[in-house]
Amino acid sequence: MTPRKIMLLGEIGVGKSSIARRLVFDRFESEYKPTLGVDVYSYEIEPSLNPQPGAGAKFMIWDTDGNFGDNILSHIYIKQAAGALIVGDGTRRTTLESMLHLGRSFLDAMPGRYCTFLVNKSDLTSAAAELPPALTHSQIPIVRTSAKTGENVREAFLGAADAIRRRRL
Amino acid sequence: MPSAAADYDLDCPLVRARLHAGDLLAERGVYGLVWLDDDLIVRNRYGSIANFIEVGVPLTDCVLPVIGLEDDIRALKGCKRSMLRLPNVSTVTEAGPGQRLTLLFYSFDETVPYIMIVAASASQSELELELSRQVRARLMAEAEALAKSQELARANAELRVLNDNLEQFAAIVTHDLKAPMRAVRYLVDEIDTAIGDSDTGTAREKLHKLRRQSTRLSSMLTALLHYSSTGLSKRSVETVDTLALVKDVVHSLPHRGVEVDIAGDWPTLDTLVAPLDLALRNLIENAVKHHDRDTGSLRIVCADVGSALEITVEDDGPGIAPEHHASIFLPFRTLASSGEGMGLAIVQKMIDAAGGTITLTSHPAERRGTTFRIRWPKQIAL
Repeated sequence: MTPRKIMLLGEIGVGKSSIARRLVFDRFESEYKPTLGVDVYSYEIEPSLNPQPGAGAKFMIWDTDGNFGDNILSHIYIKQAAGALIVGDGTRRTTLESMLHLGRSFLDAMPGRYCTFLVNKSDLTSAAAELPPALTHSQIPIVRTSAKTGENVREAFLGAADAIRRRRL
Repeated sequence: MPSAAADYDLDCPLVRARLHAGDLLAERGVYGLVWLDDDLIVRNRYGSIANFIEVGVPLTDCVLPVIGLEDDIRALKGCKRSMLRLPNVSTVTEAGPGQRLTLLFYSFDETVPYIMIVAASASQSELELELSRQVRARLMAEAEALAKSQELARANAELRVLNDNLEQFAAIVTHDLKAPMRAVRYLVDEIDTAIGDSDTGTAREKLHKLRRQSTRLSSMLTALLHYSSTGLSKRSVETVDTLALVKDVVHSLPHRGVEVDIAGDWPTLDTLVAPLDLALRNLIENAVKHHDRDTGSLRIVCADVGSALEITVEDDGPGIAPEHHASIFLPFRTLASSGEGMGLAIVQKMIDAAGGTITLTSHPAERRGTTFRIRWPKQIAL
């Protein structure tokens, strides 16, 4: 089965690479290393976590350079993407606003694809920390994650994988 | 790429020099070539940078980022001037990110339908890396400064409220407590005079008044302390059934012949329970206490007005003259013969601190009754 492509999008420094490393290698590095271009990870869902073993278990995660902004949506990187996990930094409100804009633009550019918001760095914010109302009303699912502690990283990805499989993307 | 027959002439020094330069670049891992057939199977490769690509297998097996681009590559066929570029791609493994490469696809000819050039991404990467680090550091510093500025503004606003409370408290202490303190002093002087005159009867009478006055002073101080200590904390926010709350308040208070009617939509919401209880309790108690007849009515209605609840407490008592409307919410202001006059001051303070408002409507010259209208926000900002 051809691996499905999932994009990691969002502003610089929100934790896209940390999320990818946590998911694929269960590792966290505190030193910041900006991504240039795109880093591609190969990920296979563990059989014990895959409700349909052998079906749609392989994924490619495209961890993109945050400097692209909206331009990522017209870039060759986005071709054939089954879905996107759009990441924002829970400690920087401006990145959450950008996340909302990017999510809407992604769904405009690629209708029918799967999309989820990941509000990252939940280890640095309280669970009750208010999100911009436009974000919570956007009808795009929101998951609070922490690449540092691993909170909800795998769950967010498994949710995406399940939706992509059900929609046959 | 060669574009004319002369370009293939190996006797031509320019051609030999070009080919030699290409060999050098390939040997030094600057670029590599991969030949692909119609099915995008690797037929051959050249250059050390392409060593990771296996001959005889689909390209997508060796170069994962190409997955999904197969149709775009095939679309190049026959278009010699077209190119497909996949820039700055790195495949990450447990050992870390691989070399960052740029892949360029071209259509070639019948025997070799496609060529892929593998090139090392340009060395300005280090500069871009450093620029990205600096931009990120600046963005995070700006976000932190904004958060601190907002925190400072909030702290200043709180400080202004505290200062206002302190000024009000000082004004009350100096003004409203001065009178009873003066009365105590006068009584002491009168007792002293009476003792000097051996007038024990007068002295005893004045002592009795002194006792009453000091009791009154003590209860004023207690009420004032209660008023100043009523505040808010985040722990006070609870889920409350407001209908159950108002019914509890009504049942806990003496009615003295006043019939109470509760109407309207009373929702369940997360709010400050104790302050809301206190505000309703004082208003209802006041309405009963100040009623001038043996029977009467009190109507308590709640309506949802969007971002707030509007709670109306309407009685058919004697009313409050307009000249008292402004001062009635101040501490120690009472129109009754008993009580310290702190009830409405506490009501005002509770509602203000919750971000709500209270208004009073009463025109006793026109009709009986007083209506207090509270706007209680559904979302409490603390």
